[in-house]
Amino acid sequence: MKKNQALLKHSLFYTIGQYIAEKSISALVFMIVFEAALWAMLSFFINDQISNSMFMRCSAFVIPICFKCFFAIIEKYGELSIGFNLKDYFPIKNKDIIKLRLYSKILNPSEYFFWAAICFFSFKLFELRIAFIVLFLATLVYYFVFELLAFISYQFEKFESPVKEIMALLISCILFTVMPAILNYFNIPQKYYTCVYNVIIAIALVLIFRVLFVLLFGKKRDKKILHRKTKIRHISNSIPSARWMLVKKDLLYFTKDKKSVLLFPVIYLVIFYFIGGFELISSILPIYFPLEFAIAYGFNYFGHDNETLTTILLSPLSKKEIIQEKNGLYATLSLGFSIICFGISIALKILALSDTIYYFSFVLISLSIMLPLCSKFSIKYYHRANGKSRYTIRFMFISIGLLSILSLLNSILVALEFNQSVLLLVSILLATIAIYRNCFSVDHLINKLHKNERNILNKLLQ
Amino acid sequence: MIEIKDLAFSYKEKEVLKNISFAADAGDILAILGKNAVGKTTLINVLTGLLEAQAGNIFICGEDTTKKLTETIKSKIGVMRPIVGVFEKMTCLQYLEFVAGLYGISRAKILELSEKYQFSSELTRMIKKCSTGTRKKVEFCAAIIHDPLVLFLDEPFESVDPVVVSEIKEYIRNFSKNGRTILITSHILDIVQNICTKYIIIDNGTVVHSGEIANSTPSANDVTELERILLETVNGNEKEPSIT
Repeated sequence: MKKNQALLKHSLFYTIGQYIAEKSISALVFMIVFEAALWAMLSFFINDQISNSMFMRCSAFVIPICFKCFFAIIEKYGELSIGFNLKDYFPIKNKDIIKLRLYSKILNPSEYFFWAAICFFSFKLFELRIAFIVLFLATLVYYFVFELLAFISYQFEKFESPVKEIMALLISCILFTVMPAILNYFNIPQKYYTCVYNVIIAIALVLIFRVLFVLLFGKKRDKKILHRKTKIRHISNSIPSARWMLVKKDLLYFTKDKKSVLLFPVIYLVIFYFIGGFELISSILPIYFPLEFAIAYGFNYFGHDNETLTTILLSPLSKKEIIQEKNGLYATLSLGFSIICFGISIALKILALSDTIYYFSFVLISLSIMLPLCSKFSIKYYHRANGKSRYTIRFMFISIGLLSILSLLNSILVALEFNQSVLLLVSILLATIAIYRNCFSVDHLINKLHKNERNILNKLLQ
Repeated sequence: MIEIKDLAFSYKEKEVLKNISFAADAGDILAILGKNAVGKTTLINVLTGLLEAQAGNIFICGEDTTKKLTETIKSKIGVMRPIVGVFEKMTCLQYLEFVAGLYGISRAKILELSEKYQFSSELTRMIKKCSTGTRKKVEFCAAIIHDPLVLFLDEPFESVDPVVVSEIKEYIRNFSKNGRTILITSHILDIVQNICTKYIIIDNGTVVHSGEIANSTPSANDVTELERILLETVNGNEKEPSIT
């Protein structure tokens, strides 16, 4: 077999084969179709929001590209150098790696789905024929930047220093500054590329935050943390008032081990502020955050991430309950965060700075409904009996359903033109119910857990 | 073939290897011995370019590889490494085909090796689902598939059945007879004593003892000479150990 053939086969396996090998066809469908559909949907939501408010239509389709760019940079950052590490193990050159990555891109239907959806929306909804040119150039720039970042990331990977972030920042800035010049060359009116500057700002901000993040906190996953977690988990399983220990455990998890969960909303707020001022925050966040929560919490934190949280000392039987407890707490914390946002929005309203009550009410209502449901469905359909997390067809449908509910809710609220005080009342009521429900379910589950453990202990003693 | 001079490596604050110096010539089978977590695997990783040494020099086949292993050197060495990540989801055949493909080797060689090391019935099985023994066999075959000049084997006899142990031993002996060099880490001292020609003992990150091995039979209390030396060295015995 020739080297090229081997690389092509490996790309095919990496993109599709691994899912078939694991017989997780639903995961494959999810990764290829559903993920792309989600992206397109997100773009659609944002397009819709922006085009209905104060933004120029041209911004509508560039913004999703901007989203795609910094989402890609943030979320795929850890996977950037995939393929490059093969160099450490096998006698392959950089050009072979580039080939491998190129094959993976070409073979990945998800990429086509995403760009096709964006094209469809920008053309069909906004009748922007020129969109294709901008889109095409943006795509090229995006892939170029991404590949360059991957290469730089690999070069600096061994040093574990923020140098790679600084380099990435510089390169993205240079490239995205060059892009308007290219567009200018093609005589594309300025209004079609002013948003490109927003992309530069967005990417620069994301990377600055990344650098700060690395400089301030670095990677501190050592045995001490594991020991601390174990200790807290042990206490949480043995003390009756375990709920507060769980809160403490999760706060520790958030503040020490998973700072990104707390940092990213702040990062996004700053980015949105820089892109479009406070107006954009108030119009995009209500759409963005529920979706972010639904996707990230519903799909990842309730599933993938449970490995890092699942107790070491617990029996597999208790695992499910503990995950549910954890989810309940996350929901409570998220709602708490939303209430703070809500408070800020009221304060801003009093100060006559912005009309944000509607938007934050929407966030609160959405979260009150979405989070408990996400938690419930993820446990029911995401986790298999063998404890392994995987996407199932039913879980996918449930998720689609939840997202549909969200969009429907938005439409109803807009159509009914709710009075702000009624909206305020409804949202607070729903949030209270959701928090109460979560706390109650935590209590109930802990009692159940202790009962199970007592039963096991009794059996052993007999 | 391999020459190491004053090699040092640290994981952040922790100094794992310091002042490591040794050499292995063509035809040598060198055993790297020591207690758990003394840096044997780290040493293999540094020598094979997975980790970068902070000080010292590494020469493989006459080329300075301290900073970078060139493509030429990479194709001259074979490394037995654990199969991880996406490769675990491949079948044994897919993985070996990928490795063989990178060296331009045909499928026939894979089939030949799988027959020899007795895992041909497992070829279509996902690596993740294979037994530890089969995984070891696949890892070993991936390391030797391109007939390298220098071979690095990290715990090659762990979890492998006696028949395959004997096959691997046979391979190693023939390999060294052809004027090639092998570096082995292992805790199974009777096998090491049986096949290796040289040894180094690492303790506290440095080479505390080295020497040549002559095949010997276990003593009355069933302790081989090498075992005695290792125990004396790592337990801080004052008496200078030696193999006769």
